[in-house]
Amino acid sequence: MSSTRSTTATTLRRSLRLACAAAFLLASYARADGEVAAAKATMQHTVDDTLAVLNDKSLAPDTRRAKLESIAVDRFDFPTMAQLVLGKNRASLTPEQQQQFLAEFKQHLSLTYGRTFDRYTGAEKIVLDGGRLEGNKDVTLRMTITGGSAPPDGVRIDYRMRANADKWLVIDVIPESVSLVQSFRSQVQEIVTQKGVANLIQTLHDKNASQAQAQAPG
Amino acid sequence: MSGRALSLALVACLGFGAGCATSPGPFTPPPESQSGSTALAPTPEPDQRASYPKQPMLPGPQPVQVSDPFQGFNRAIFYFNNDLFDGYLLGPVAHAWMFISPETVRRHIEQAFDNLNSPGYVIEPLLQGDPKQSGVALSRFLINSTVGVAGIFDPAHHFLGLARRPEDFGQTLGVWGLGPGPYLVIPIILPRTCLRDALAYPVDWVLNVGDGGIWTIWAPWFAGIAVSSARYTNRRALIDADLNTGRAAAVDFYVASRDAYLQGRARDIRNGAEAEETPNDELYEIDDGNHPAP
Repeated sequence: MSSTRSTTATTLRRSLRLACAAAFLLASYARADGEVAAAKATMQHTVDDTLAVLNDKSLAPDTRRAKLESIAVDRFDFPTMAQLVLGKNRASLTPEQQQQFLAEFKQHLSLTYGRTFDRYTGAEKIVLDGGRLEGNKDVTLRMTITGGSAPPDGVRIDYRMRANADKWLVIDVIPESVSLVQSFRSQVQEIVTQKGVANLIQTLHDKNASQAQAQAPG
Repeated sequence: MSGRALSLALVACLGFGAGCATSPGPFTPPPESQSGSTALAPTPEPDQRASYPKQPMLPGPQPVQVSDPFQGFNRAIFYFNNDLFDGYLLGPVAHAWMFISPETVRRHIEQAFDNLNSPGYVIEPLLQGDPKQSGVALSRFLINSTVGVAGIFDPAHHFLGLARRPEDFGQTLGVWGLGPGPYLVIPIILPRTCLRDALAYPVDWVLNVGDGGIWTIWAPWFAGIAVSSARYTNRRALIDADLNTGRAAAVDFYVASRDAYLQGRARDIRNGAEAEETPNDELYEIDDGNHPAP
């Protein structure tokens, strides 16, 4: 009799543990799913807005670029990207140099993206077809671009996003597993090591000036 | 590859992230941001991640260990390849070719050359323990060489969903556990490589017929030069826009090329497989400047 009671108690305890584990997994799943869905919704808005601009053939190139930039301002976390790009070198920059770097970094990305933008025709099909929650609660979304000016195999791009308050913002762009943040960080590291912080900011400034000149109308 | 990778990043951001307007201030994350160093303190929840159903994602960027002991030599050769050879010979010839040929024609020519790499695409997966991929490559070769008119078209992908996956012996060595070794830049033939891939090149020269040149043993010398030059020019034309964007985007194009090459090779060796643990979170931790004393 005592043995039967003991077996029943053991079975109950096991069942309870299993139920708790299942509840935990379900809760985790729901939470992860919710965060990925929230990030995806933000990015979907961005895709829709961008496609609308790309498909508006009445826009002059300068206007089109400005509209895209205005969309992007709400979607990218430039201060965080700048910190990630600087990495351990950030400590060697004075607050003024940090300010200068951020300004030049943002301008650099903006100018280059503007240049890249001219290659898109608006005929591309852009789909968000994957997502995962990362260990530090960032979310990575996968985008696939096909058709139009994309290559035959299509282009796959991951966006790493981070929640800022209630807003999901992009902190890295990873086409074909090559991280923009990692690439820029390597370049920054090389320049700071070889030539110093002042040279880094000057190099970015010079690059921006030459790009702006190249893109100037006429 | 590096130009493409960089430009893809920029292309991606272009539509969805080109901006330089106002922000809260330099390095000032918005309130309650996770971006701050406190919020970024590692609080991994592996159970949570494991519980999320895996979707067909690209693997995340992996930390790349860069070994570049010959940087002085490499930069000199890179300057020759990028500024002199491409600037004054290959680039202008490619632009002329672009002027007279539609992009569609260039893409089909490249597909036909790529089809000739099939021996390598079939054999290398076998050496990597992936017979299924080997079968896919063999099927692609048989279908595209016949229905696809000598590989000019790609019905295997378009109608049967058999996607192209380039393979080479460098990847096989990587799968076997051999690291990339020192980064190397070799004049013209291998613009960017690493010691492992350079050592693998003779095998690729035999197996990857489209990229390599074993057939030139039996062909007149001028035929080999002509065909290789034609393919090189066609490829250069196909990546022209990417290359320009990559050059414009990089503040140090040598480093950008090196990094993109090494990241890309790491991706190729993983063959799209996601790691059990994604060890890339460290890249996204904001450095708070507190480093333990050595």
